[in-house]
Amino acid sequence: MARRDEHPCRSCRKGCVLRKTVLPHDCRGPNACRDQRRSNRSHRFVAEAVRRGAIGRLHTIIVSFGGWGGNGIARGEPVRRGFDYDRWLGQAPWAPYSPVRVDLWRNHWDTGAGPIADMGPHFLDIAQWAHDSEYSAAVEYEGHGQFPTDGFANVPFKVDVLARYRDGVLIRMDSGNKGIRFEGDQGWIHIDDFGNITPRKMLRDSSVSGIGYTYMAGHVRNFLDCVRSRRQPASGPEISHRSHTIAHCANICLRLGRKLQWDPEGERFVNDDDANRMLARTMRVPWGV
Amino acid sequence: MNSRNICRKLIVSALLGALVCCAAFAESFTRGQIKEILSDFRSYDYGKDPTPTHTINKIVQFIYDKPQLRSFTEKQMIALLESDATFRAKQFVCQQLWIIGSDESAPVLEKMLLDATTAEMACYALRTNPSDAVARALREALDRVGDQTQVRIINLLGDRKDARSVERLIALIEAEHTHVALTAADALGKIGGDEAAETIRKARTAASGDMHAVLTRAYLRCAEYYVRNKQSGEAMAIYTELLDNSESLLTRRAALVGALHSNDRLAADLMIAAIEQDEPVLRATAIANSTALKGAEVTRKLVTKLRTAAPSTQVQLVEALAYRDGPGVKDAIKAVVGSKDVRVRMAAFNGLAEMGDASCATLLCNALKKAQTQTEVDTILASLRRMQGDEISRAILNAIEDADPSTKTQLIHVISDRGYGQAVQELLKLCRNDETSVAKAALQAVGTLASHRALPQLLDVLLDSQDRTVQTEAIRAATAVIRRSSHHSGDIARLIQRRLDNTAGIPARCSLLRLLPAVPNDMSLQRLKAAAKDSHPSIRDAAVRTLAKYPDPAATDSLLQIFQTAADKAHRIVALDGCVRLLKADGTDPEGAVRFYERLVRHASTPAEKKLILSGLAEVRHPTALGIVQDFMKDNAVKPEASLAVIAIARNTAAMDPPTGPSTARNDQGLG
Repeated sequence: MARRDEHPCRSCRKGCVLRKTVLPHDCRGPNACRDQRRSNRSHRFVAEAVRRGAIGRLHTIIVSFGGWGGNGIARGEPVRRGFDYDRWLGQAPWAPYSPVRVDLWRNHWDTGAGPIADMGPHFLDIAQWAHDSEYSAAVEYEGHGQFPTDGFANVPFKVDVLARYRDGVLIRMDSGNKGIRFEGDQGWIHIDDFGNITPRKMLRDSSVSGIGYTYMAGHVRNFLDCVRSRRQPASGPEISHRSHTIAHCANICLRLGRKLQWDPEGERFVNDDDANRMLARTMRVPWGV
Repeated sequence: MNSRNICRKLIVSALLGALVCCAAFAESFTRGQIKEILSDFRSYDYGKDPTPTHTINKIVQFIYDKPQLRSFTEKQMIALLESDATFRAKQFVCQQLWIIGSDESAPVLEKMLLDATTAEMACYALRTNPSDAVARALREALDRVGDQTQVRIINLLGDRKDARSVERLIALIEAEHTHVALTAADALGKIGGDEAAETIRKARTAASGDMHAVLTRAYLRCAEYYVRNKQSGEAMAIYTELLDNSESLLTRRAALVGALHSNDRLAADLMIAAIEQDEPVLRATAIANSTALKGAEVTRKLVTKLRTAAPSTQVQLVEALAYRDGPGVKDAIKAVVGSKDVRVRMAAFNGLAEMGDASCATLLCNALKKAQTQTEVDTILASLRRMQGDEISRAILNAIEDADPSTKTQLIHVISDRGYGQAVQELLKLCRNDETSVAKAALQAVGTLASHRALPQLLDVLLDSQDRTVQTEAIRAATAVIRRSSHHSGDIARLIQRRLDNTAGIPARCSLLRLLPAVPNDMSLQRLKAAAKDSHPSIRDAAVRTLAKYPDPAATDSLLQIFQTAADKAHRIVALDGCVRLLKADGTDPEGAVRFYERLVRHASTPAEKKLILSGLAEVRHPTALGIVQDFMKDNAVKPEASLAVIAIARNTAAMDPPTGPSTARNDQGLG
């Protein structure tokens, strides 16, 4: 079964609502949104190294989401026995059942959001942490995506988006091998998704490197601690919403095919009504937030 | 690193250039084309070639800044929606109207709302359309549709915060269809306002089950509406009502969080009352959300509580106080650094990192000396790294003097990570510490922080030390400093040469020779060549091994000569290894490399030497290399390596010379 619950937030406006719901009216205790990488030593080391200026003044962040693909023809078929397709389809606009649609849900705007909003929030969270902009976002987006020309998939398989923060720091989102590279005026540091850190000379304690996305103990520990203290977890709803926002802004930029400017305070695009309208989507009944 | 940065910048520039080109050559569409495309699209369905959908997406991009064409396109879309187009075609067009729809499409979408099969897609199109006509259409459709569509429309009215629909929604709370009633209650909460809040309050007293839960959430949303509109009194009335002991704990918790974020003057009293309660969830919630409350009075109350609270509450209070300014905060946190409870101590270590002054740094350094667990040590070190300012670094440096060796080492690493360059002189003194681990850490820090000006003292440390570990680390540190000081390479080379001239001790001379690859110039190479012929075996050994690591291809001839003439087998293989490494370097002329390998082959005698040569030949992109390798095929000791080299050379050369490469490869594989 495709795990559609993993990435529930497919629009900016929904992210806003979830953040507001989780923060003041959270009746369920702390919400460990994402990202598990926040609570592992490798990613913490990299973020803190950048923040304390180990590579000098940060000027560029390159976030690479890895290769993306998978396509097919989504012809309507009878729903397979034992599968509650209507529940699986959830908030997305109705479409006939097809194994292609279910297996490749990430590759259609109705059910997924492509590589940027899939891997992106994981990596963008670390990028924002290192850049000390966890409660904000980049303000300009420009780029292009390589959209499939046939089949069911309609999200870009290859992306290259260049965004800029107010302080001039560039964040490039591309389809290179999964990882994050920080470049400063005195050096660079890179971490891949397995937590391997380069250059090795940055490491005094080699055990810091190599703790990747599969390490969950720190994430779980942080969640349990927050259940007790009622504090927000390492990657709380507001922080998580902001890293999603960058991904959504980049996607809207690619879908509209033009440069966009974002106001992180008002959480609106500047002088682009079409883009603003894409911040919210209607959910299929009975779904809603 | 610099060249990589330049490459990156070039790539980014190329990307921007490509973007500009893409924009310049974007597809364009005429009215005729748009009409035809949308007309043909009427028969589009699931599972068909999606090319038309991509084209329509491009049309939507293209018409962005062309109002007349945009209006024309919308009209064509309306025509499609009014036609007998397929469900999928209409659904897709509604997804485009979600972005570009205006007043013009409101009538047709209103009609679609009345049809249960098309209501869903119509709602999609209407969700973000800001037009008043759309809001009116939604309100008017509300009474003419079935339950399911009513739920859709109510959701939309709530999301659009349509105040004019409040009266109608109030009536719908009593609807027979449960889902309609629940959605209406939820929508009232989203819209907010006096009328909605009053209705929800009354309905909530009589409601139970799901309806009570939805009304509670809606009531909290109404309070949020008041906070947004700076009506904190009204908001506080709702929160106070929901904080009553008769409410569920979760409702009280939600109300408390809302109250603390309401900016109302009564919020601080509510916080203190919650902290004083026996209820642990509300107490923790109040402390965790105290950051929302500003002012010295709140800070003073939290500080007072910290002194008398139980350890579990102290942890929470320290975490909350760490982000507040104000008198007494720093002292209060400092006071609990010595707590018997490890959780409190850890919270204090983290808290002091946020306070960030020199006295906090000194306290943390002292705590490091007494730390009982590795977790405590890690937390303190992380805090010391996180604190900002030179005065912090100075305090850490001062604490090193009377620390035990293990703590000294850790604090030196912190100084290095903090990039405190002013510590170099103190660190150079620590390089001579009797404890090897301390000296090693200090040398690593000097290697990271020092400039070329510290090099003479660093060389003194290198030459004076008798400890092999310290010597090795000193060479590393000096090499790091030299590489960072490329603008002064001439001065540095002369400094090392002078030291070599004036140093008689054999180990010291060997150490100095090992530094020469860091300043690769003529003088250094000549010195190494001469040392390779020295009468003392240690000097010879150091020179040969250093030459083998020399970064400049100019050393290949010297290495070849050593390979040809050295009596020591180890030196032969070290020199050969150096030659092969230099021949593999980027920018080596393949033809020149092949000629060099021919000379090496003539003097290779052992299988190990031959294998080393084959490993290098395998990477040569020149067909002549195949001829050399073929000779090795007859030697059973290296035949497997030779076969692999043949394949590798064939692959390499195939890319540059397709007609000859593959055929040669096939023949040679046959020989293997």
